[in-house]
Amino acid sequence: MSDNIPNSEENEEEWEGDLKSYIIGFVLSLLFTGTAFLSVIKNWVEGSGLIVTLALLQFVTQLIYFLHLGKTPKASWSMVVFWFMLLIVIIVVLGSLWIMLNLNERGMSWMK
Amino acid sequence: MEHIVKDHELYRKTVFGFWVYLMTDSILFSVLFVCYILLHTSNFGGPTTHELYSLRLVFAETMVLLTSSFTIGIARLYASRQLVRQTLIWLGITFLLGLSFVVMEGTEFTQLVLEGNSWKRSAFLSSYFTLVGTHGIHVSFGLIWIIFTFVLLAKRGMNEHNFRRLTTLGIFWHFLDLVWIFLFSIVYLMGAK
Repeated sequence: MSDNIPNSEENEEEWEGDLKSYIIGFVLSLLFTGTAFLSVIKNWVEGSGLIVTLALLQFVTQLIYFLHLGKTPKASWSMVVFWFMLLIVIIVVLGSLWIMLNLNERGMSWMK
Repeated sequence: MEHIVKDHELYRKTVFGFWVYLMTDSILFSVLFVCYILLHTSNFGGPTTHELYSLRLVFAETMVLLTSSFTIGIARLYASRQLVRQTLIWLGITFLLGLSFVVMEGTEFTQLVLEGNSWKRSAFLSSYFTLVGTHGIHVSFGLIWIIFTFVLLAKRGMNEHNFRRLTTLGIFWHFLDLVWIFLFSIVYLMGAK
């Protein structure tokens, strides 16, 4: 996250570095999106492993190059909140899937 | 030229507080995603995911939103140099891209409803409209926010408040694109397989 305050004067270099970071992020995202789209249109592979991998790659790319997450060397509170969010999301998603898919099966077999 | 941000403490607090809000918003989206994943096969005799989606339109939406996430970053970069004109231009481009995204999504929704496949048709469509619609509402609010920021910038120039506003707006917009990656992949690409 861009909570490091940008300067308006001295560092031309840093500004260009930020611009470069946006361009790299944009090009990589285009690449990942395009590949995922083509793989579905042209039916390259069975299953959805490739799509999920590309989505996660793009997620990380944008976190780094667009949101500049973890750019500050020291651990920041925003990173703590981010990891906590990820933990909760994983519990909610995997937990719900685990419970719902199992309940469904058991319910059905019990009723038969 | 002087530093735009004078009250560093306020700037940091605002950006951090906004970040915490976005993290809670991610949890909201994750719940809607799980709902969709669990219900996307419950089509109640109605259309399945294969029959509904027009991938080409969605791919165009994806490209538009991705580009707008890039352009708002550029706007923020110019803002940090206090170049108001360039900031306004890139902010304007972002607005137009965001607007075309919302229009395309609106077209898609209208078409679905007109064909009788509204949210009332099946559990699958209910969860689909809730998930994609919630994202669409976020983008629409982002557009309103862009208009406000644009007007304030044009009227008062680059000051501390406008810079802070633009920073949080930028983070919000990047976040919406992050959510869309998963919408595009899980809902549309995996649904078309």
